Formats: sequence, C-alpha cells, structure tokens
Amino acid sequence: MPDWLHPRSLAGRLRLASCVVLPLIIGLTALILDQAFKRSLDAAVQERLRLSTYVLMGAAEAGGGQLWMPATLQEPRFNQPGSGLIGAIHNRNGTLLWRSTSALGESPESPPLPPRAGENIFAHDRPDRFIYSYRVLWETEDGNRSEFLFSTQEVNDSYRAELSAFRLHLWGGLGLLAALLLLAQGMVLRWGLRPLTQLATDLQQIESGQRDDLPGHYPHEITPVTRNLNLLLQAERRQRERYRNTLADLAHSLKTPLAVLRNLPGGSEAEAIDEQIARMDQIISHQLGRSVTTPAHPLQQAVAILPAVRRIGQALQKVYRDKTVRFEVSGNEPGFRGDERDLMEILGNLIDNAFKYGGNHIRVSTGVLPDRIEIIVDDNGPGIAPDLHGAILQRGTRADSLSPGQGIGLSVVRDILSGYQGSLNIASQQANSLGGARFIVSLPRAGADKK
Amino acid sequence: MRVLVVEDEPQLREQLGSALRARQYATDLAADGEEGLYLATENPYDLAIVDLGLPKLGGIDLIRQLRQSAIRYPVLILTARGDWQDKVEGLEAGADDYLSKPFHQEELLARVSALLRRSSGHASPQISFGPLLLDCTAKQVRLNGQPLELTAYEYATFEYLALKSGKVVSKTELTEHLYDQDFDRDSNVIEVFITRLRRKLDPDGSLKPISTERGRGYRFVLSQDDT
Repeated sequence: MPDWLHPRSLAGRLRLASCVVLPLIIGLTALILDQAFKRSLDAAVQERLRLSTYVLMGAAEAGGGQLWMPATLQEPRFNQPGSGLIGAIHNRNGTLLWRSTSALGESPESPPLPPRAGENIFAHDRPDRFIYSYRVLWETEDGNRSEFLFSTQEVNDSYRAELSAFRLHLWGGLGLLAALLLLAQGMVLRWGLRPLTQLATDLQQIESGQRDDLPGHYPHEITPVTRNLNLLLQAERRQRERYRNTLADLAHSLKTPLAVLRNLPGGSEAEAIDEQIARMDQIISHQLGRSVTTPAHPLQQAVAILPAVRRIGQALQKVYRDKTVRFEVSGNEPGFRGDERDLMEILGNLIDNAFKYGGNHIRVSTGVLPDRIEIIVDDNGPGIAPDLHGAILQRGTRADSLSPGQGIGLSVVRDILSGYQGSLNIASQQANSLGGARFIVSLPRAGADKK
Repeated sequence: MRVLVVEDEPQLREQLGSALRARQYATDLAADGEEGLYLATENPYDLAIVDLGLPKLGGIDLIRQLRQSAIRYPVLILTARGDWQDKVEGLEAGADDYLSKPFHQEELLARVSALLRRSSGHASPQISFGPLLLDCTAKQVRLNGQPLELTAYEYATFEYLALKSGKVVSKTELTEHLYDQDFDRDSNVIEVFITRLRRKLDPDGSLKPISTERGRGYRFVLSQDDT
C-alpha cells in the first residue's frame, strides 16, 4: 500500500479519514436530495398534464365515429400558439383526429399507447417533452363504441431549467458546506491535538538539552504519562548522581591508601611493591572509569561538546604552560547524548595526549554526518606509525595485562565509547592537515534512526 | 620556599610533609578545608598542595576562595578519582596543575619545583647568573661549573633570593618563606646564613652577589643571563 495511506501522525490519520468520509456523506446526501426533488418535479408535471388531458376530454364531444372539439378550450395555453402545451386526439389506429391551436400546424409526436382503455401513460423519457396519454373507450348515444387516445405534450424547457437551477444550488451549497466542515474539523483537530503536539515539542527539547523535564500543563488524559516520565527522568538523574558519588568516594578511599603505600620508605622490596601498587591503581581507574558509563537513551539531555572542548583546552594550556600550544576548535555543535562526565573523560584523555605528545598546534573539530557525529583531534606532532595504530588502541583493554607506567587513557576512552555504541580510530597521517596524529571519535547520531 | 599541604588522610599528609621538608621547603600541614583556608590566607606561602576530597570545605571551593581573596601563589591539586571533570573544575577554580593519586613522591616534588620556578617567571629549571648557576631540579648551585657545598637552609635562602633577583627581600619575608609556622623565628639566623652564603658564593670578593639594603633587607643583584 502506498505511504500516504499510512500517515505517521495522529492528525494525519484523522485528516485523511475526514477527507474520505466527509465528501462521501455530503455526496450521498446531495444525490438523495437531487433524486427526491426530481421525482416531485416529475409528479407535479404529470399531475398538470393529467388535468390538461381531462380538460380535453371534457371538451370533446363524440358521435357516429366523429369527434368534435370546440374552437377554444378552457385551458388558455392550448389556444395560444407556441405556449409549449399541445393537446392531441388520435383514433385507435393512431391517426391524428385533432390537435390544439398551440401546435401551430406541426404534427405532435405520436403518444405511447396504453395497453387498455381507461389507462394512461406518462412518458417522461423523451428528450425534449413530456407526454401524457389517456386511452378511452367512448360509447356514443347510438350505442357505438369508439376508442380515442387523448394526449397532452409539454415541452420540458422550464422543467430542465428549474432542475438545473436546483442542482446548481444544491451542489454549490453542499460543496461550500463540505469545505467549511473540513476547515472546521482541521481547526478542531489542531486545537484538540495541541497537547500532544506540545508534548512532542517538549520531548524534543529534552532531547536537545533545552530542558530537564516536561512542564506541568497537560490535559488530565496524558498527565499520568508525563508525570511518570518526569519521575522516571528525575529518578534516573538522581540515581546516576548517587552512583557517581559512590564511585568517587570509593576511588578516594582506595587511592589515598595506595598513595600512602607508594610513598612509604621501601626496602629491598620497594620495586615489587611499587609495581603491585601500579597494577592496583590501574585496575581501580579502569573499572571505575568504565562503570560510570550508562547506555545512552534518547531522553538523556544532550551535553554541548564544543564548550567542554574549550574548557579542557584552556585548563590544559594552564598545565602545559611551558609549551606554547595553539589550540583551535572548529565545527558545529553536534551535542553529546550522554553523561557529561563521560564526555569529559573522552575529550580530556584525547586532548591531554595531544598536549603531551603532539607538538604545538592542536585542532579539535566536530562533524555532523547523516548517521553519526565525529569529534576529531589533530595535532602537529610526530604522529603515530600505521603499524602501531592497532597496538595503541588495544593496549589496556584488560587492565591486568598492563605493565606499570602505561597510560590507560585510551582504553578508558574506548570503554566509554563502547557504552555509547561509538568507536575510536586513528587516521592515517595524510588525513591530518596539521601533519601529526589524528584521533577520530564516532558516535551514533541522536535520532538518526528516526525519519 | 614555604608550602602548604591540605590533605585529610593523616598518613599521607605526614608523608608529604616530611618529603617536602627533606627538600628544604618550609611546610605547614592542614587536615581539612577550613583549616587549609585559614592557613592559606594567614601566611605568605609560595605554593599550596590541595586534595580535592576534603572534609568541611571541598578542595575546589577552597581554591576558589583563595583566588577570590587575591592570593596568587600556585596551587597543585591532588585527585583520587583522576576524573577529567574534577581536574578541569579544579584548574578552572584557579589551580595550576593536578596530580592523580597514587603518585610518586618524585613526581610530586618535580611538579612542585616546576610550579615554583614558573611562578617566579623562569622557564628552565637551570638559571644562570653570570658565573653562578642555579639548578632548581638538583637543588644545587654551581660557581664556574663547580658545585658549591651549601647546607639545605643556605640553598633555600639562595634560591629564594635568586628567583626574586633584583627585588629587595626583607628579613621577615625570608623568615616567613623559609620556615614553617612552628619555627622559632630569630632574624639573627638569617644574617648568619647570608654571611655564610656570601662567603661561599663569592670566595674572592669580586662578585658581590647579595647586597644589604639598610633597614629594608637583602637584594640579589646579579641579573639572569639571556638564554
């Protein structure tokens, strides 16, 4: 089935339905009214012609197979040439015996013959006239019986004019009515569905990060939904906050003792102890860094990426003050759908690497592609040899496989990204106009699965 | 050079204290944010080391309040979480560098020395003043390439004066920056150090690196060589 038969919005469905149903009802109404009017018009004509025929019959005198008609008739239109009403009398053989003055000498159309005497036929199917014929059997004074066919014919010009005037009125009026109804219904729909449209807009604003929850003014049919959604969003936010605080406390309470241990005056075992401390440290960092990541969902507020990049850039310029680094940010704001801390971890580790190893020019750019967003960190340092790309990204995927001193920044980045169905890649040196390393973060684009 | 350490874990605090004192930094210790803020605003420090997870007053708030009261000396933050959001917030609040726990003491001391050097406007850890060379990393002074035998306090006095070369430094300032708050101050000790320093730095009396400004203090008169 074609797409337009399956509108994707409620308003579209209602509009499509009323566009189909309303014209159907109005059309049927018009058809019924039209038929009723035509029928009553026909009946009126028939009645008129029947009376006129009676006038003829009343005026006629028959005797000895002869028929006499007076010079003028009671019905003036019979006497008036061109009046449109013609009277005629035929014998049973169909020979014309008499015709009214109004016939103007032309022979009237032969009327249909009713099957028996005493019966009549009203012919309303001729193209230009109605014919009423009455078959009579007259017994004259001499006892002879003769049959006559009295008929009246009327040109149907005025009938047709009346009918078409009526139809014009009828269809015109109903058409206008239909248009008004559709318009009114459209407005009613808009008004009636406004809370839903509002809900959709509000949800969109939550998605784009412009607000935290749904505002309160909805009709009571949908408040249960919005209220529960709000509660859910708040609970989720609180939960995340609590979780984060717990992790921070845990990190603090684990790492401070490690710091004490590490700086105890060591004897011959100092090196071994230090190595074990390094391993414990990395496992803690790795596991805690990873467990912050919660899967992204569309109602998660979008976090602005570019301001975070600038903040980190400024902070690191302070740390690497001895090294004058040119730090550039370019591109449009794609918005990161997820936890702000996760974003800071991703950006912080990549930008810190660039500051540490990457020369004196760093450029962070963002790109919005149809299906994903990209964050690209370029530097003008020595770059990374292609055969090392895999090793660098793989390093530290298992924290316990690390040897002390190896940074786990990139593996934390990869872990966080995998929670968001994203990925981290190192591009070939040629791709980078600054000539150094290029790290590319790809994240699925918010709402890319929607139309 | 006088350093303030604000750390709530007693053992780590003591460790830091003794490591810094061993390097001739006059060191004061604070156990929570409020005490830290009090000491930081009361005494003229050259550097503060602040843990982010402090009781009573958080590290970030402490740094923010320091900077609001126009205290400019460098601040090194210690974070347990190693979280970028914490680091960036700390740096934005006014810290100058960060170190994630667990750190190596050597790393911490290197950062401290780099921050101190940077805050006095010297880019390189080795600063030469004519025949004299100050090596802030090795904590050593060389005269015409020969290392001088200086006691820890003599070195600290020299470093402080040399990093402020050209400026008059009062005896009070020297005492405040060379000794922590528990030290019994006696300005005669300073005079003794200066006399001994002059003898060691300038054995034949031709250089006269430290001048006495009557009633005001001392001045290191040699200017830094352009590198």
